[in-house]
Amino acid sequence: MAELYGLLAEYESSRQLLAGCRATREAGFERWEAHTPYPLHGLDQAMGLAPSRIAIPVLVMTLVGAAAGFMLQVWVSGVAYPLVVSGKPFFSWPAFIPIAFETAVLGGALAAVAGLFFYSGLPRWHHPLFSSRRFEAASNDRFFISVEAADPAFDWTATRELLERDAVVVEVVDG
Amino acid sequence: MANALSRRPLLPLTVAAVLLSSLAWFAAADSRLMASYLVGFLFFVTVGLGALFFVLVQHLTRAGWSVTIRRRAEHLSAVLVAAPVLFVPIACRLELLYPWIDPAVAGHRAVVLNPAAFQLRAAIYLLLWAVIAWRFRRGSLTQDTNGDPAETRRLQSLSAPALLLFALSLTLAAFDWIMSLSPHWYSTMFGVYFFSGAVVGGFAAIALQATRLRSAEASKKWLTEHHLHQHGKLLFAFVTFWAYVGFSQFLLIWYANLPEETVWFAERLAGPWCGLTVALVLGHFIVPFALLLSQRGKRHDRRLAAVACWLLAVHYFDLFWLVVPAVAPRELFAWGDLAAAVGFSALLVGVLRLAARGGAVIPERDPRLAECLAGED
Repeated sequence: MAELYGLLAEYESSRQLLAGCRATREAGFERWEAHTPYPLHGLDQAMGLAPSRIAIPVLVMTLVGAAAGFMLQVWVSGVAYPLVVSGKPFFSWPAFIPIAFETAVLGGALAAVAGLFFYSGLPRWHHPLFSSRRFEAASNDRFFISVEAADPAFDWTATRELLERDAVVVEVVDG
Repeated sequence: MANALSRRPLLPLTVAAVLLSSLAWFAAADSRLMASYLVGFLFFVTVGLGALFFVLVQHLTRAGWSVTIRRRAEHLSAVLVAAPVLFVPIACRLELLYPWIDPAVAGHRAVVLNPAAFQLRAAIYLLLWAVIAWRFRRGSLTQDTNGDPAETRRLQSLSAPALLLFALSLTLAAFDWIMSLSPHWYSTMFGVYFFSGAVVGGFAAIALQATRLRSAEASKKWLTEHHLHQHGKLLFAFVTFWAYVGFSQFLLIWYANLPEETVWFAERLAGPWCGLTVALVLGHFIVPFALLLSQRGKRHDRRLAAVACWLLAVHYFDLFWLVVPAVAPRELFAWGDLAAAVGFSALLVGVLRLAARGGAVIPERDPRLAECLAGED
């Protein structure tokens, strides 16, 4: 028999979901996730999520983008192909700022997208939760919490009882 | 109603009266001191204008998120009611500051740049701002007592024409009061630059008041950490906007390299002014940008209060940097600078405390109050 993935709890309202999240967080789980059809205010606090890890890579790549864009222009107009433009020196830093700004934004935006894929574990072909027919409603009108059996605090009976307090349905998900 | 922001208005008002009247007395015969006075006056007015801009935009966009924040801006914009009388010492001694008083200097510009027209225009700007600020504050305070939602609709329909007049008068005031100090220099972007600084100053003063109110535990119910975050985001945005406009103005002038335009930056990049220009870029952009970049910088009372104080100080410095090199490039500092800075800041605090005695501490019967209190990000 294949390993079982864990439990999936379904909620009818965001209020129930937030209550479920608080209970799950207080029970000390680590490998669990909430699924909502739209961005939900207050979910981060209810789940006790740490601040996003994406800030640092974005900051670094923004600075790298700015430096790369600036140095590219210094190299092009100062070293590789020096041309006198309207009597200005070859190293005319004010003219380099707008492009350095644009490459800074580009670096930050690419890092944000790449970071999103990396931290979300994308791309992947399949996720065990997709085997649940009920889970399709996560992109429509239902809210879910999934808890992985691999979590150290997981227990088939105790965890199910915990989730059933707020959920309308709790089901087992195959691995 | 008394709260942390309305206590003891007399003390700062007395300090301001003593300092400003003696400064105005001595400035009547000394152009360097008159420059100090002008800088202080501009600080006083721009903080009020930044607050007025905040109020107008909230009504124009029918904003719900800002209802509990708006009251501080309404009180702060009331300083504009006190502004016209403060302009009198400058209007009486135009020859100390403005070289165009000599028709030979003004040339064909004398049509616009002559004392009578200048004074008339200043009177129009100042009265216009005072009336707009007074009308919007009064409308909001009236709603505190009668709870009439029609008040909100009236202010909304007034806000669009008010904002147009605001933009036009603020731009022309910047041209008149600051740009004409160097009568042959011009920059069409100057009005926007002046506006961006005014908004930074006004929003910093609003944020500072919010952190002062939040020191009382009860106020955190209606001035939540989420609302504090909004203050921080606005400051962050307008610090960046200021840098964007300032750099754009510099880049266009540098790029075209026309002598009649570059002279203005040449003055500010010569001798000791060069160091002060670098300090302005660092202090008004790099430092606050870095401090406000993270979420913690925007959501933490103490940090936001420190950044807001810092921004008010550098906003004052920005105005100093605009005015003084044009009037007395060799006299970097005068005692009048200190007197003006302390005097006008004290006056700002005093008038604000008087204004804060009116109405409730938040617009408690605003139809969008519930939306504001439910706000989360």
